[in-house]
Amino acid sequence: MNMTPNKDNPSPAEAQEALASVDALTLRARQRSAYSRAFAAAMSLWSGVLVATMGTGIWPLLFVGGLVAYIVWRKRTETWPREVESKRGLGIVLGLGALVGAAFIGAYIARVYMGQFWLPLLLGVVVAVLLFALSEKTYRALRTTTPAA
Amino acid sequence: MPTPELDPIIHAPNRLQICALLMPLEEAAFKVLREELSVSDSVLSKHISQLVGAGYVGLSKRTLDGRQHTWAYLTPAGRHAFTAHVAALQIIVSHAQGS
Repeated sequence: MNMTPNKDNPSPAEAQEALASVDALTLRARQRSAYSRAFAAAMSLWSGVLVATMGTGIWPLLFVGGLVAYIVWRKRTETWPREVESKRGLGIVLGLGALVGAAFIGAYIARVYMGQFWLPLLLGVVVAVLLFALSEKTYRALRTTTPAA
Repeated sequence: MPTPELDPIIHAPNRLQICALLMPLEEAAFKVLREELSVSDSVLSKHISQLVGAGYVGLSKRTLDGRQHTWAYLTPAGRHAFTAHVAALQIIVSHAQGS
């Protein structure tokens, strides 16, 4: 942005240029902070495996191991997006949380009370695919979006 | 409802750009800000200091691989001030378009 702003009274052109700069950099920040495909795949797989192994002895190990890896990775990342920026974003996060929570409960009940193996596995696959598909959609949208001219 | 006013701290181009970068983020490393703004460390530090002094930006430091790194984030006051500043700019533009 090449302007010498008059802080008391910028011209409309200066204000427009400032707003364009804001839009461009906000988009850059979102693009830069979008989860890498590798991270999204790892998190989706971890979530799916947790659902699939709900009610087994290995679950606590997987949970703690994944959590530690997440915390270590989180501390090293250069940018971290705000997950919820709007009511729509909050709705999506809550909706996803409810779906994944239901999958966990369903998997637990199926394994512990019904002695089933296939339903927790199926739920794990559904959760993993759903989460990765959503992150991939966001990734592609951010990568193909350009600032307004 | 009071009319938003331009914030003299945020209005400087580099500081406006820093706030714009931090707005959609929980935090960003200094390196990211420096790369996106294409400024030197000293210039960036100067502007960050002014934003920190105004209470708009917070800093957190972490040691990674034996070196200390700094992350910056917008405080709630900073988010509010930036939002109001952008609203004031939009009013200037809309008034010009209206006339």
